[in-house]
Amino acid sequence: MNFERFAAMVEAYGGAPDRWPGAEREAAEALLATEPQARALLREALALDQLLDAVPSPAVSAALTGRILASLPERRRGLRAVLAELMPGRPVWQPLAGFAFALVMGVGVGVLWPVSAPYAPGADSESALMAEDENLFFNSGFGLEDDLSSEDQT
Amino acid sequence: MVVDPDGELVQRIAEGDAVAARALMARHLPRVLSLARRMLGNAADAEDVAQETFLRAWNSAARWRPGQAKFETWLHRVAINQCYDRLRKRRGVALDDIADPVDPGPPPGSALETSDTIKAVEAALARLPERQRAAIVLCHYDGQSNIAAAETLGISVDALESLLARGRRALREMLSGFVRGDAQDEPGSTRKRKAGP
Repeated sequence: MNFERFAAMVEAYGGAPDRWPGAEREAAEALLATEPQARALLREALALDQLLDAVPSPAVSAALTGRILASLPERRRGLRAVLAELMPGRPVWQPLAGFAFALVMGVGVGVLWPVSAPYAPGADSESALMAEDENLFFNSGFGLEDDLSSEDQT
Repeated sequence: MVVDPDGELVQRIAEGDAVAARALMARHLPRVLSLARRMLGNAADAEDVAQETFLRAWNSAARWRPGQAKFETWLHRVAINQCYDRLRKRRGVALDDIADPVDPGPPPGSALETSDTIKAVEAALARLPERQRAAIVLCHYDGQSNIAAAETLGISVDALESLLARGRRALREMLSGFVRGDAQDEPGSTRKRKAGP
């Protein structure tokens, strides 16, 4: 890097090397080590940088955050969005895996659990109970997405 | 193909995910507000710009196609353009006129020095032509690399450097009474920023 380019760079980006273009930073620092004129330019640039840095960043108010969030339009909410709100900060696969595990365990226990004859309901009423359970599960879980979708369509 | 760290959040926002919206705001609202505040010099207008910028983000999320540009770049461009619009509406004063020097105020070391310095710097920024101000806000205050800032402004890196150099020269002249020239001769003595490319 020659002195002219160093001067142009400092004139544009200031005196802090982390604001300089990455590809030129090393060469500029090498020039600084050997060139007193470059160091003088750097001092001037840093003085202006320090003045500019005196102006603090504005704080984000809770009221502004609230207004912006309130402007988030209601859209079709996918299952992922619903689960993310129910369990914020956790990966979506965790509640899904929980539902799947509960389903498999429920079906497995229902099929394999030995039921003694005197307390077993009749075949017809057992099927009816299982059907009711499935409806309850789907209505409270996966049915939610469809419900919200149909609300959006109205 | 541009890797966009906000891509997944934007996709979830399109589905109405308020958690994703909060996360995007935590990441970008302070910077958008700061950018608008420095561009406009007015807290209320800056909040209006920030609010409008995120409203556009919500409304555009479903149409966002990842891979072409970073969402962050688009967001900053929306904010900058809104600042330009407001400045043009305000314009009764020719912003591109050469500014007068800023009153240097009390001498260094006085009790009023800090607040007066802040006011002077804000006044000097406000007197810069808006494109020079935008370049300085993006590179100096927001810490964007030259490539990112040029993309946000829709100009070449050479054009950005020209805006920055003219802006800084004008600021140095306007703030000549405040520049002490005793900055340390140590590279990087000012606040650390994001590294350039």
